[in-house]
Amino acid sequence: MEKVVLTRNFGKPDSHTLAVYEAGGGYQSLRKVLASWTPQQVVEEVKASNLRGRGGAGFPTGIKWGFVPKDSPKPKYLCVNADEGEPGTFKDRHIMEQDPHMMLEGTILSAYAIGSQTAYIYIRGEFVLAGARTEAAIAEAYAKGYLGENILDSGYSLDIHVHYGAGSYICGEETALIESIEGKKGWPRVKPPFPAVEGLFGCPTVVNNVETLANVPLILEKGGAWFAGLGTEKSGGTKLFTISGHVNRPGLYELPMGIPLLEMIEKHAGGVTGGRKIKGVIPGGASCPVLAAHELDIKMDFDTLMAAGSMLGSGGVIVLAEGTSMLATLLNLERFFAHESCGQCTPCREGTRWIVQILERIERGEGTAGDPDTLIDIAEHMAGRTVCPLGEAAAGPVKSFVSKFRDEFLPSPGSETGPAGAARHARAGGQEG
Amino acid sequence: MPTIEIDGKIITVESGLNVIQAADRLGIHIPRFCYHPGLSAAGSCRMCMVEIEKIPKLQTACTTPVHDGMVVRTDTEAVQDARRSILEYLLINHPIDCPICDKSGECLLQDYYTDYARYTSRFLETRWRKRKVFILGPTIVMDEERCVLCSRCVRFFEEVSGVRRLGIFQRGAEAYLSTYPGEVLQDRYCGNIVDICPVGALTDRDFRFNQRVWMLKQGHSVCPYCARGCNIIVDFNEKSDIQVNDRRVYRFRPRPNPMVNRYWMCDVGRYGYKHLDAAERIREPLLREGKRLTPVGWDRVIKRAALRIRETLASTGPKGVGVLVHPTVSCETTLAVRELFVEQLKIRNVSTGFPVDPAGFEDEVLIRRDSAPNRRGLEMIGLVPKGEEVPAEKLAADWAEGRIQLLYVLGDDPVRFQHPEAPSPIRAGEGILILQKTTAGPEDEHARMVLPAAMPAEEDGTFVNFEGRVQHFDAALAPLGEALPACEILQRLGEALKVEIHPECWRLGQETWAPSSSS
Repeated sequence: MEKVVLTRNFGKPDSHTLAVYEAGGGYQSLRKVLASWTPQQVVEEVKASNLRGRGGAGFPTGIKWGFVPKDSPKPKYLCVNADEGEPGTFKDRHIMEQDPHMMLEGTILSAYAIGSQTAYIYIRGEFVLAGARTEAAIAEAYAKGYLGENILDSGYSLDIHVHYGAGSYICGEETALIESIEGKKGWPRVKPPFPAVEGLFGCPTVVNNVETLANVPLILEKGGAWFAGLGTEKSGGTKLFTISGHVNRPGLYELPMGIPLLEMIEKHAGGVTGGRKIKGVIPGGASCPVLAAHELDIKMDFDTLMAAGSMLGSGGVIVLAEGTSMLATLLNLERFFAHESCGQCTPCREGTRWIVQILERIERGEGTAGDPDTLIDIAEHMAGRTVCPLGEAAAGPVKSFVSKFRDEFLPSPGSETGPAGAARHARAGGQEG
Repeated sequence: MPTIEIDGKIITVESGLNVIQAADRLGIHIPRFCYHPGLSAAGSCRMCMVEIEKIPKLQTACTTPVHDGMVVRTDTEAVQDARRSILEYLLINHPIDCPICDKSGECLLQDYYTDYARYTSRFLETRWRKRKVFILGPTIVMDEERCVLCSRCVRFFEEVSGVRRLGIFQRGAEAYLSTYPGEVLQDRYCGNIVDICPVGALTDRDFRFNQRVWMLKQGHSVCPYCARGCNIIVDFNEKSDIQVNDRRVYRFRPRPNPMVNRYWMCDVGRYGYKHLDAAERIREPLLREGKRLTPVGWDRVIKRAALRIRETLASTGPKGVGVLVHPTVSCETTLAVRELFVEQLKIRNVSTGFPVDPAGFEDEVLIRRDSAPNRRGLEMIGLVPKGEEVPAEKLAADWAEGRIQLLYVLGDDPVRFQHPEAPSPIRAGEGILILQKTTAGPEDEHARMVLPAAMPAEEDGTFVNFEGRVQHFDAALAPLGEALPACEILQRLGEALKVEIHPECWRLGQETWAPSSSS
């Protein structure tokens, strides 16, 4: 691995304990910052680092912090998004299991930067070990005076509460996460107002991903410029990639932002299983549009993938080898989104299920010639018209899979894995709506 | 104050308003399911999407605040396309059972499909089945297949009635509306959720299947069942096959008035429409002949009433006559009573009704403890000079104990509409009891004559609500049977008594009181 930053303690014995974290220089940033830095200096340093949100959207972290109104009389909250649920992504879980203090130190520093005295860590309910280690780390931090009243005699106080999710993917969306912490059903809120202005309990709130915050201690230790230099021009640092699918060595890899996709697959993940060719790659988790074989010569960073019509997302790289049914793959993904749609807004609630119904019908061999266009049209009418990004997330794969692998969604025989000899659907004439 | 342009029309509105509210003021209807002006904006149905200059994506009009210089288009191809797609999403699993749906004719989904969609379905899948005819509570029945999950009803209970009674359970396409587990939907304001349901998901068990809405005529009135005076719409037929020669009232609905009832009314008022056609309504003038009250014509009963009043006045003078006015009568009737009985006949034994029951129910929403609609109006008019009023209990006792030989009672005891079993405060007496009222009651057995009066929805009038708000209303429909507006009865009585009266004085105009809220 190159340029090990976030995973520097991974694999060490008892890497999750305070002793090991401190032995590696842990909490030195906190001591330094609380001793002599203003919150604004922290914000500026993070802005200089070009750190961008690792939850999927890639929004510059320092700028996000800057949206918190400084003159608000209300308390401010920091929420740590540890509800890692994007299929293909399993990086935050490793941070919490192997180095929870790195996240905690980042959380304390970030809370200090935005003037928050209460932080919530929202942990995916299924992450039992990650939750236990996070809670243990919090207890250690309180005992050592890194949390609680008057941290390290600086006059700054912070409490951290852990809140567990109940299994819903949508609670990883920041406003649904806020609703969930408030004890409500995880329905995303309509924006505006944005959380920075009116978030948790109606107060200014920042929601940051675990990996994002885990980067903060090193940024403040070694400087924003150092961190920026690790990445690309507009996106600093290294990135945790989780590679899965048809590769020989699936797993978690810390790699520089902007690494070529093929290098990642061939050099780090050990190439495709069975020596097969790559049919497609989902570059950033289930919600990111698939890249076809001819699009794989690409650098893995937010802007390059965006320009290519996909997304870096949460860095969950899913490799699909030749022989994979794109119909079955898309059906798998869309079943997930239909199951996880909160049901609040019309396009997502109805569109995701309709897409699944059509894909299931194609799989049964009852597809019609019009299905690919219908699928794309449904997806296009979902994207950008929903309360939260889940509609967009469900639409992206449909548009990319169906347009790039159209044959597999047609009833005609001859396609690689499409429904051969499909019985034409009789009811092509349609009904009155 | 931001000035914005919508479809080329310019309007200046107060800041904080959303685009849909500004459009409503311009008379531009942006289709909506989840948005309701009386509730918070959910922004969830996505039907109200509009184009806003300088914003690439369509925006929901119900959640987008106006800002100065904003340019909105509600009629572009992109907007039409978005509306069509939302309707398609909502309709793919909708049962499309308009012919048997009670909401048909006042259903937004039906209206919008006709206005904006009219596509040919491309839905080849099997429709999902959900719960039909699901009884939510004593007054509300749900059809889950018709529900568009707009959450208006959920928000109504949360934000207006004040108790969370409904929720949306499960998620995604399996989301459904329900009461909380084990709960029966009971609330004093339940009926409103039927009014605001944009589709046929929630229907009223009382109104359901009684009438197609397009067969109904509408009149406006003011609810007479408490001191709030909610503004209402009266839905009725002039003739129906049930009562061949008579009209029938099918429902009351709230009529928006931001100063009084906003968009709502309580169920007591809502189902109070039944009193209009109730079997207990007095349809003809009744005169006691022997032991029985017998229908006679108006002429005979008026002549007899005038005769008895003259006789009593001649034998005892004004102190032998009492007049009890229930605060259910209008201001106009009160003025007529003052002119006829107080000013002309010099009667001083006058009372403006029994006091409010202190144990009565009242809440912070609409319902007032005082179940009379016009107590404040009677107070403001003043039948007799202040301080000379006779308490109703004393008047009733004087009557029962023979100190008064003739008692003329106007209006219905307000308590009796809500508590029909309540005993009458007017007991038997030796003298002559004349009742001028709408609905039969236990005191009728002591009466010599009963004069059928119109109910408030059947006459012109004015009520003053507990806040002092003057609300004039016109007759929504004709009186039942031979009943007459109270003022007309008094005018006929005055003529029979050969007393010079001036009906034009009874009319309340702008010059009498500047109405603070006209209805």
